[in-house]
Amino acid sequence: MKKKTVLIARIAILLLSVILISIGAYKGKTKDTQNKGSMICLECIGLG
Amino acid sequence: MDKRRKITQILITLLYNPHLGNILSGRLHTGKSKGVCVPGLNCYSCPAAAGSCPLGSLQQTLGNLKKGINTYVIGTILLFAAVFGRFVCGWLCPFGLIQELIYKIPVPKCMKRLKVLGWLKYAVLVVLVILLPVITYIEKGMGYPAFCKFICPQGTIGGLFLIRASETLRAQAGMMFTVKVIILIGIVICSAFVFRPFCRFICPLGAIYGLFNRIALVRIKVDKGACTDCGTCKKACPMRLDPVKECNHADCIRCGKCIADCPVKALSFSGKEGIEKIKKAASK
Repeated sequence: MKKKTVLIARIAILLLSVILISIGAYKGKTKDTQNKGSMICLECIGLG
Repeated sequence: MDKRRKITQILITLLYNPHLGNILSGRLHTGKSKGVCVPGLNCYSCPAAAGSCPLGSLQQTLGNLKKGINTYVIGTILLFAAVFGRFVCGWLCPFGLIQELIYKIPVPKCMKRLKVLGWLKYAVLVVLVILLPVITYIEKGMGYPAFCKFICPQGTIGGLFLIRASETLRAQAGMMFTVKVIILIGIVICSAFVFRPFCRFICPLGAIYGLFNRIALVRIKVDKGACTDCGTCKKACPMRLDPVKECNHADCIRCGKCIADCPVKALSFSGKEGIEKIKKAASK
């Protein structure tokens, strides 16, 4: 891959990730993640 | 380099899992830090965990689409992938550390690359992480995290702590838990003979990060003018890659062994250079 293509792709993905995180945080998705992580996930530990 | 990496891996493991007292009580940490995804594979149902597992969170959102896709989780994974690539696997993953410690057991080692098995992690990613949670959601209205449910050895370790502490959970442990324990034991045994078998052949998080290895900010740079083609880096690479010909390959975990062993210093990390380029591009 050319250096310029790599740089453009990197910046595009970084920007996209920041936008997605911001939208998620605005919609309260961090709270969803916290709620899920605060309960025992029976599937995750092999009981569900 | 290797000593620095080991220290980083140990510190990161403690940073991901600071609530060691919870292992005895069998309680989960429920603070705000659980709203943050850590870069590496670290089950949020482990009693010591402070943060959330990105892979578990991704499957949870794909299995519960009526709440809307969790862009925060997808964005976080993309951010880690674009900045670090598989540097996360080499330096920031507790399960990678566990496998590397087991690999130190003095038994005969498999030095083959086993390239075909390397494709398995992409199948695991597509089928267990993406398709099954979505399909079960469409069919039953509530999908399940298939990779966590059937394979994830990190979750099994968390489960062992919880089962030891709770009689109620112990009573629920059935065939599926036995299968998961057998998978964990299998990975542990293989880790003594093969370098990081889980990371190389199974881990879907490593598969995602690997897809971004060529564009990630932290990557390995080869000075082809200085390289003498001596092959020392190829012999040093624990992932059985040729760092000169396959620089930033999807399986490269940026452990830095090739950099440390290169006699003419033709290999180096290029993170600093990447940051400067982004700054320049942003200022234009």
